[in-house]
Amino acid sequence: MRQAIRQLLKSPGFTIVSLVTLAFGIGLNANAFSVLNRLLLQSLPFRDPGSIVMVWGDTSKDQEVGQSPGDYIDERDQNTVFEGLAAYYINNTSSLVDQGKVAERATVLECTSNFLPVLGISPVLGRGFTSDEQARQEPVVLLSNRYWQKNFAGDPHVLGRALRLKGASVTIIGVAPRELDDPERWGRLDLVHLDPVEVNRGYRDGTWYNVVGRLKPGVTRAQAQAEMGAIARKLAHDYPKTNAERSLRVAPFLTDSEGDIGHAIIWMIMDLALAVLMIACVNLANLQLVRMTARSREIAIRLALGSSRLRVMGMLLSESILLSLCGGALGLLFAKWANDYVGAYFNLPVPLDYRVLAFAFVASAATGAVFGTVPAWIASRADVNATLKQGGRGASAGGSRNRLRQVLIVAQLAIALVLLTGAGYFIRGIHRIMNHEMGWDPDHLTMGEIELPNAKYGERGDKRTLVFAEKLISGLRHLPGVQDAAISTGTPIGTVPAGDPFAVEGRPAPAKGAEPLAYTNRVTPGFFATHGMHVLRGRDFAISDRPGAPNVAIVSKSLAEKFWPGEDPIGKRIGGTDPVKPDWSEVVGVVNDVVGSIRIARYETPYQIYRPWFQDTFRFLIFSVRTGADPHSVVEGARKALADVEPDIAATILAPARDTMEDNMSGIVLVQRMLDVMALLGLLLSTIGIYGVVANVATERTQEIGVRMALGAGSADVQWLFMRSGIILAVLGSGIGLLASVGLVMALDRLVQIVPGNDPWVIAGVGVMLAVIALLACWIPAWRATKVDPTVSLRAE
Amino acid sequence: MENQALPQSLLKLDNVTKVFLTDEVETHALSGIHLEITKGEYVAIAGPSGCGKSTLLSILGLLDTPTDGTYTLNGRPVQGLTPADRARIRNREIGFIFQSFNLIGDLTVYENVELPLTYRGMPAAERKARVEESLEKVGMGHRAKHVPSQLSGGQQQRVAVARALAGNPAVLLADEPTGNLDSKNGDAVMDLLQSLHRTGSTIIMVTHDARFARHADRTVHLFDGQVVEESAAPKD
Ligand SMILES: Nc1ncnc2c1ncn2[C@@H]1O[C@H](COP(=O)(O)OP(=O)(O)O)[C@@H](O)[C@H]1O
Ligand SMILES: [Mg+2]
Repeated sequence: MRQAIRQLLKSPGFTIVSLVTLAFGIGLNANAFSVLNRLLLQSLPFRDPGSIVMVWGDTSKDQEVGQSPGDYIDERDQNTVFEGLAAYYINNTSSLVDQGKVAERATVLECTSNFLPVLGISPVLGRGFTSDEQARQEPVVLLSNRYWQKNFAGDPHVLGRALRLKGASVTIIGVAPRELDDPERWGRLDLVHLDPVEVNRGYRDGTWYNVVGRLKPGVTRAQAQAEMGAIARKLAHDYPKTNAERSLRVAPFLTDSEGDIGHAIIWMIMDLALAVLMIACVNLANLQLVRMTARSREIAIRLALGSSRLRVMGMLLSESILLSLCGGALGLLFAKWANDYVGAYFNLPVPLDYRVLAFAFVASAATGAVFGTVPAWIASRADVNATLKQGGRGASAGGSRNRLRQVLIVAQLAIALVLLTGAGYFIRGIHRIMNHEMGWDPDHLTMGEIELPNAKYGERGDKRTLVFAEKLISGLRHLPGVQDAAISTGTPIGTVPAGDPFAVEGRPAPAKGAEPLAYTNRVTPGFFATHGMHVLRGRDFAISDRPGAPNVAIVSKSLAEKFWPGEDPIGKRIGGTDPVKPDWSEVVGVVNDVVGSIRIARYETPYQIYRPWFQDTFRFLIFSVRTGADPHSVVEGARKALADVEPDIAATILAPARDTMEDNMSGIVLVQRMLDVMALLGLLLSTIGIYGVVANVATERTQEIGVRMALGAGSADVQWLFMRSGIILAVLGSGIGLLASVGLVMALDRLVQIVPGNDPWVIAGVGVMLAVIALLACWIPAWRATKVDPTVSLRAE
Repeated sequence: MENQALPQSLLKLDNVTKVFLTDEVETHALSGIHLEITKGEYVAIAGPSGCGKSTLLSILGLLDTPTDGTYTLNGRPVQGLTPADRARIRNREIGFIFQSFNLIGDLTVYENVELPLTYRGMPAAERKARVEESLEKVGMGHRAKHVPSQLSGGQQQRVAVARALAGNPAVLLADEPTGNLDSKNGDAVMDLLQSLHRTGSTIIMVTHDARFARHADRTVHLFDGQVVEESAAPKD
């Protein structure tokens, strides 16, 4: 061991280059693994997590839909397989007021009283909810641990204190354990609120609850599935109107809250990171080979003195492994920094826990073994006699060494090409997700969301909401610099790939399930102008489009062109799909199509239908304001305008549309950055690799260059001598890499359908770029070889 | 001038100097060299180590350029030629033989000898004839397929001589061709040069061994970068 250290200190250049390469390679992997570990591998912090399951509604369209309160109560009361079955949903539009402070937005976990027991956790302070409280609909909450620490500095006297939530008073009865501070699963949770699910006992239309259960000991998931299936059939029989096509699906709790796309991307990042490490290994193996040549005399002497080959190999290998362990330690520093960066981005601590440490250790040791073994083996097989006679010099040494180096370079180029194609595939896809014509203008636009308290504003169609909206719009329009303001139920930012079925008057009704779908948004007059959209035909909505006035609608251009090609859509009628009560609305205008700020591959529908918000008001609403000035400047004004109308509520996500978009995309942007870093690192390492090999070969052959020059070789001859081998390596490497890349892209197309459109140009472009860089990397040492002074290189010894 | 009356001058150095600049130190490797060599001559350059023999040979072989003075090869001044022109002249007019043989280890004997012809762009059939002819001349025809590491030092040097001959150059430049050989092999190489000289080759050979200088028509003695003496060998 001491000897290995001494050897490494003896060649500081080699050692430093190797350590840096290793630090990056292993650091990148430790970082990717930390993310993977944090998101996928860490077991749930809940008691016996294997027996916690989700019970999803299952429709032909979607296998993970929520459940209605009516269904949940029936399932809870009829099943025999669960120790407990809880319902919950996350509400992040609630306004929370702490005495004497301004209203703020809160993220609230609304749940049944048995939610904490089902997960197997209990409050750290105070007590949990009781079923009595649930039956009596008591207004009680638990603080999240995070909120407790942040707003009350962990003060134990918060118990019994009152807060105002959604305009009503609630009492703090406890503090939730840290296990619930899991932003990735619940968001940044502030409160846990006892949900009065029984209020809606018979309600089966809306399915906003997630249902989670703890299996009784000895009950398997399959048994639970069988019983829930039977309950679903009974519900379908009893309530055919809502439940005919609903069944139930029992799924593990662990994987259900993360999307498969997320998994695919995380695994992809891990694989790409491993590819970078492989490239690093190739470089190190090459460096090692060069070093073995320089040490061949020392090794030959050792062998001549009777050391066994195995011993020599062991000695060389221990140097490699020592080196890679040091590199791995440095890599952990790099990973720590990268983890903090990722953590800050996602608001989610990404720890270097024992698993990551173990991974880094194994990865380092394996790396050392991988890049050290073959060179050590070759060195230990050296022909002792020849080496000693030669005095370590001469052109005929190491044919197998050179061949191995060439194989390594070909492998490296192929890996680099695959890496770059994989990264390029995502980077291009992400670029396309983020940069596209949206059909609306997010600049100079500020938006906020409001949830009006049910107690004061009622549900759909309540007159009080209408009055509120008129006051708010007028208040917003009077703010300085504001050009227009509007209210709507949806925003183009989140134009989601989901739609409602609709019917076109005078058309035969399509089969059930095959109706056309449109994304429906209810908007006030001025919405289109506020969003920078264009009314292409007909008119915008007017104040006169109110309850009692005829039903009207505005449709998107593509919808009009699809359903009334060559006809004037104005005056045509669209309605619901219920043939008994179609509820026709007359089309009064056509606007341009919009897409959301994140354009993913498959939209359920390209069509949009707008209806007058005033004809169908609702207490969940979004307001938007267009200014000529900096959109940040109206945020405060908008907050005041809202407070003037309704002091008890806060707007959530009150921010310029651009900021919100960027916020929504931060995850994607981070993924893109990680991929950028990997692609760059991979490219850099493989460029260094091929440059290093050609440069080293050129150095080893300076004497030969001199001879050739003396014999009349021109600089073009000398250059070609080295370029030729570089070109052969580049062509072979990129040829193999291209084949593998085509396979990779085909696999990715099947795997990650979120990325829109496949792209043969990525492969072609990456292939060409890599080939050019490889040739450049050969050309530089080849060109330098022509600068060899023959008189110097020929001075024998 | 009565140029026509004199034997034709092949190489002519006029007041040639070579100064090396290393780390601000000037080394005067050659100063004021006058040298004229005619076609068919066998000239030895002798002198102690470091006196500038190899430098002189490099300049004669167009591997290096003089700091000052003029060099006329075949009646044509060579200063101001492009590197490509110089490479072409080296290839056609000059054959090098080195002390350490300098065969290319990855190439066979045949390919080594063929190399200067390849740079000349000669057709393969003609190359083959020339390579075989010159290998025969040095008695290495039967080793064409071997690689240098399979040959002894003396054999390697004979291959090097064949390589220098293959292009049919105007002059052979040999820098201590026997320096890496034992006396038996050294003598064999000297005999080979002697016989080449007899068939009309112009040879300039650097040596610090007076015994070998004897073979030459004329010996130029260098000391400290200057010609100190010229002596003609006694004709036997
Ligand atoms: N490329 C060079 N740079 C600096 N000094 C050199 C160079 N080549 C030769 N010299 C110096 O020039 C002198 C003559 O060298 P050289 O011609 O090799 O001598 P010889 O062949 O007679 O032994 C020596 O002092 C040597 O150190
Ligand atoms: Mg010399």
